[in-house]
Amino acid sequence: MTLRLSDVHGGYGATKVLVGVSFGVEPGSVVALLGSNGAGKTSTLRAVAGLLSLTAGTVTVDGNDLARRRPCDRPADGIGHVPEGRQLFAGMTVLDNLRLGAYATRRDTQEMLGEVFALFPVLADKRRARAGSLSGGQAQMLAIGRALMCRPRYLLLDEPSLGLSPMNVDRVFETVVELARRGVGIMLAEQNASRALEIAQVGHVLDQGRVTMSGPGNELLGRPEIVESYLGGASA
Amino acid sequence: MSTFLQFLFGGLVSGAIFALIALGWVLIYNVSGVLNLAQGEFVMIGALVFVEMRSGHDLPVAVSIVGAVAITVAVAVVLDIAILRRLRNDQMVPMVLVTVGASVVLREIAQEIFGKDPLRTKPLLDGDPFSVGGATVLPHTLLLWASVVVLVALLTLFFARSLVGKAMRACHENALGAQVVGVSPQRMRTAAFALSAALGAVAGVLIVPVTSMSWNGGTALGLKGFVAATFGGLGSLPGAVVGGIAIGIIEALAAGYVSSAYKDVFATLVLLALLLARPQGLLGASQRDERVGGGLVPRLGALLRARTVGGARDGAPPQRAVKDGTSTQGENT
Repeated sequence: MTLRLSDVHGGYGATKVLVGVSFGVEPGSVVALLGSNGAGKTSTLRAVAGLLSLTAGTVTVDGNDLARRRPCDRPADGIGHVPEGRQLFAGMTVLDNLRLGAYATRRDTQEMLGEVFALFPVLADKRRARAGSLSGGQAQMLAIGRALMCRPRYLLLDEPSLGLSPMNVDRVFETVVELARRGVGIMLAEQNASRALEIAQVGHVLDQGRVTMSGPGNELLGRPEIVESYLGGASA
Repeated sequence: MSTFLQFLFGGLVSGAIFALIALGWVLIYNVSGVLNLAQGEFVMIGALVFVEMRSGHDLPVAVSIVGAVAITVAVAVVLDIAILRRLRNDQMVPMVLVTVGASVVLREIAQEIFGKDPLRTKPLLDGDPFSVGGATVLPHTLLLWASVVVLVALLTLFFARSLVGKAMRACHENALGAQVVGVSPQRMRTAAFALSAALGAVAGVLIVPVTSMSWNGGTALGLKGFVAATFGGLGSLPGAVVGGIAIGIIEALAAGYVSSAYKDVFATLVLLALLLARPQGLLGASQRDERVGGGLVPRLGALLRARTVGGARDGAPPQRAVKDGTSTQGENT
């Protein structure tokens, strides 16, 4: 039972953005992807979501190869995605955004709505509000909630703390820990390296499309080269 | 007064038909970004199949309507699945060109099957014409208006309530987000083609007793629908309805008071003037749309929008609607 990338190569047209990325995400664990802008964090998530075409290598979910699955098939395969920029349906209500989150599975919608509202009570209060009217923190909660509606076994989170107030960053990271405790495997791409490594069982550092360093979160947190490269300005 | 009313009613007949065709354009455009230039051929196929079944084979009206809609939808679905799905999703120009090709092929096939002469059938409702304020109205005209109102209401419900309708809106709102939640853009485009073919076929069924239809009669109607959709703001469903009716009325008044030779000129002139003053169309969304500008046309746009969005619901008088224009505008994006 693993989400596994094996020697994944991929890019957009002639531009190579991933060069042999391999690692796995176990259910109930948090795997942090670190690296500077353009290192390949988002591309790695997009490869799992099917939004980046692979030129070599495989992505498997619990043993099933995803090569022939279209992006829109992957929520049904157990992959929830909180993409870069959230990609909410701004003109639609919070409730409609969440209902559409269950579009792929179309079952247990009411039950999952209850779970998401329990996790993020503010979304229940704002259920009739347009997604475009939410604050940054609320929008991030909605993006996570929408991804949870299909009961994913693995959740891809792209920069969930970006642009949020410190209090909201805390909320988001607490939620990530809680979701992992419930058995969801989390792939977390983060600029905020110190916060990500605090909650991650494993961290991988990406540079120019390759994994250049890997290790348990607390161990990476202690390495001087990590502190120097990623923790200096990233804790804001 | 009665002359004016007669022109107005005539305009409302063609306007209602333009509105259905414009809705078809906007549906496909919103979901997939494709401008379907075979839209008018859907109207033509619906009309000719209907006449053939009803008058050629003496089938009941209901059966003929269902048959016309089913065959038109089948043609649209085959066009999408057999050809458009083979093209790359991100390249619009080849797709639009394919729809141009499809419209030519469909016309030729229709000419083979139905012949060159225009076909016509009896009105759907028998009965004597009656007079409204001195102007004559046929029972069929009332049925036509009622059908369009019901269809627009059903479509509104479909987009507001059903999950598939919301998924189609989601493709328009945020294509990437739609894929992320598992909405297939290809399937939604097929659904949009089917729905818009159904609207076109119904337009054909409703108009063929009024004006007759021939193998090449759909193209002009299809383009009129496109003008109406652009007039209303390409992408806005209420705009398509308002645009259709507006173009219909402008044409009818121009034909009545000036000359029927100039009706297209007037419709196009008004469209040009509108687009110069308001590039996004009457109810189209844009950055500028967030506030109501000082010009007459933006104000008119705000007024119409307030009436179509809020006014239709609670019957707010236009004066109040104008004051609420800014807030009401936000709701419709």
